[in-house]
Amino acid sequence: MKKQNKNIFDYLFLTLISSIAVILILYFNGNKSIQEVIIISFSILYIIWGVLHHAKEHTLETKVVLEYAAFSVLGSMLVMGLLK
Amino acid sequence: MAHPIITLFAPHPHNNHKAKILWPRSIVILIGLFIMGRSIVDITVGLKPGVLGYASQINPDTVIELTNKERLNAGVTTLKYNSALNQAALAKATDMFENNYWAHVSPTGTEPWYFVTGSGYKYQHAGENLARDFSNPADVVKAWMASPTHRKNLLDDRYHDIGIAVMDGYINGVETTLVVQIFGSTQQTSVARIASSNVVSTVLAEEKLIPESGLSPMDLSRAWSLAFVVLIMFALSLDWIFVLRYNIIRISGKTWAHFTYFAALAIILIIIRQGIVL
Repeated sequence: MKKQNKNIFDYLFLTLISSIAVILILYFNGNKSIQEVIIISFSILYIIWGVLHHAKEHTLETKVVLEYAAFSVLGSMLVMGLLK
Repeated sequence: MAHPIITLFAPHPHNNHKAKILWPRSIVILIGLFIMGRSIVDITVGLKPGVLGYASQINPDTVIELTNKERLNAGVTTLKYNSALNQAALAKATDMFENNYWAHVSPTGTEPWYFVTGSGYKYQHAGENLARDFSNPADVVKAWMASPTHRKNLLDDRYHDIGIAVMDGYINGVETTLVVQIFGSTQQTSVARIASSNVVSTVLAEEKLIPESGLSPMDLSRAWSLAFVVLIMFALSLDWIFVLRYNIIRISGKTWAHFTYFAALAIILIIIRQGIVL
């Protein structure tokens, strides 16, 4: 039960980060250089979240980190393509 | 033997209980495909200028009106249309199209003040805001207000006059709409105000926009990016359902976390507006 609660907080935190990124993008619409910084920061925070979450669960492995890194590189490229 | 489509999208003993499309190596392939698609668009634009484009109907009068509304809200005096500043803005927009650049200072080092002086406007203070690829005046002013430097320019109480140019043309082979906003103040501001009142309609008629509107490069990029996001979210949803249903235990990244990240990116891709301010 305790572990489940801990996970809920982790996911709530990730949802919070995601929501802040969306709000900031909306706020800075039209200012592409700031939007680029927001997307890169969001993607880096996502990797950090993944590493910390798996470290806490003792399931941190290289392939897990690579997975988060690959997803965040793809994700940030998809948005940066639009900001070019 | 499992069907390749099943192993591509759903966890299965043959894919080590994780959809192949979610493997890091598949993500690298997706990155390659994405870059390839983008390159095709860029090369097409380079070879056939004008095949993609974005032209809009922005009324310069409305831009001035909205600018003044923001100034009134901030308690600053409103700006008066000035024909000389308008000529300066038109000259700047023409120069950007002719010399294929998007900047306050041209590649040859020409500064905005060159156009202001050239129009005969003897300025004491002057400022310039630029915008491109917006579809309506409200979004242009909103974007300027969201940017601290443009906002400062827009609400600067040292300015008394304004000139606006909205011009359609091609930059780097892509059809685009430029908005040039020039502010200024001179010691003879009151004279300039009187002279400007009858010139507005003539100048606006000359710079009437071309209503031709091709497929916007941004819309194409948005659709291309969203296709990848939808594909990943579809695979993640299937993965999540299978993991829950068959209680699969594996060492892997968290599907729900990836889903949250891509859901946020999907919203971002939808809400990012066309248009850049400078």
